[in-house]
Amino acid sequence: MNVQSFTNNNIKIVRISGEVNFENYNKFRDDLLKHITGERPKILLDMEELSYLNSMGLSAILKAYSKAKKEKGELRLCRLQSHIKKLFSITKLNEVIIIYDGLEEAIKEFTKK
Amino acid sequence: MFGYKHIRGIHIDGVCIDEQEGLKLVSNNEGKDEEVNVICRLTLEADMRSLAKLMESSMKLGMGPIGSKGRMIEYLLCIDEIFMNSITHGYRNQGGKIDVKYILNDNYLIIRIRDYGKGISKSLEDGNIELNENLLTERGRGLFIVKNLCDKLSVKSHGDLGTEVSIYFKRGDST
Repeated sequence: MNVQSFTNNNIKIVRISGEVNFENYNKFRDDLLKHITGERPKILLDMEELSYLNSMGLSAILKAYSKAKKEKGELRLCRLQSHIKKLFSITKLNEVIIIYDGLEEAIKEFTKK
Repeated sequence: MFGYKHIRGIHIDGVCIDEQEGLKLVSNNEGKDEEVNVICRLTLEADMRSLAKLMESSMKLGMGPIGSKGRMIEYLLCIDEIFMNSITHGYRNQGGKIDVKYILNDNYLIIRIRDYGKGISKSLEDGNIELNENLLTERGRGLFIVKNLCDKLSVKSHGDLGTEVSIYFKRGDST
């Protein structure tokens, strides 16, 4: 599991790759939270390379979402693999967190806000 | 796909007892009723090391009956979630034994996970597993996800004697 970020149009794009499982979800949560910094942060999680996510990984993403909200910012997601998108749908988290299919679309829409 | 460590000494079609790894695998033709269809039994410690072993053996055993890659990921996720429930809720991270059976019948691959810790709430036994009203709550989604990913789920609480969860996946190799 790897978490890296870069900035584009004032949006911090956080790329997550590998697997988030019960062995590494604590590290994943900590790594993710480190990227939620500054006032009104705009965070976009690019999950194209994330191949496995369990319920604890979902919780870590929610924690990051709440932290971004607390700082009056926002966290959104893009490029989820179909089985991971399904998890967000099952748990109705897709009704809470905005999810985009593509990266360009996500940046364009997020920039407007 | 999954980074879990390779397990030495597993022979799915035979009998293998790997004491060094603390893993016991027994192919079975001796039981009764659905026990006849038990293709593998594991007795594992309730810890992360055992979870890695469980995922490895589940991958090997599920590959044929489950079929597609997408379904395999869901099958492994369900096992992952239930085993972790046993570790964290059943035994509260204090350790214990977990028995796992793989049962293959004409229609399903069934994974039965039994712990002997604190039993799950009786209210969850009849498939009455719902999402927390607060969607943002950080915990309590594992069983709900499993219920929605597998084809059938059975949860039995044995009170102070533990919990038995059976996860059913329709076979993708029998048409």
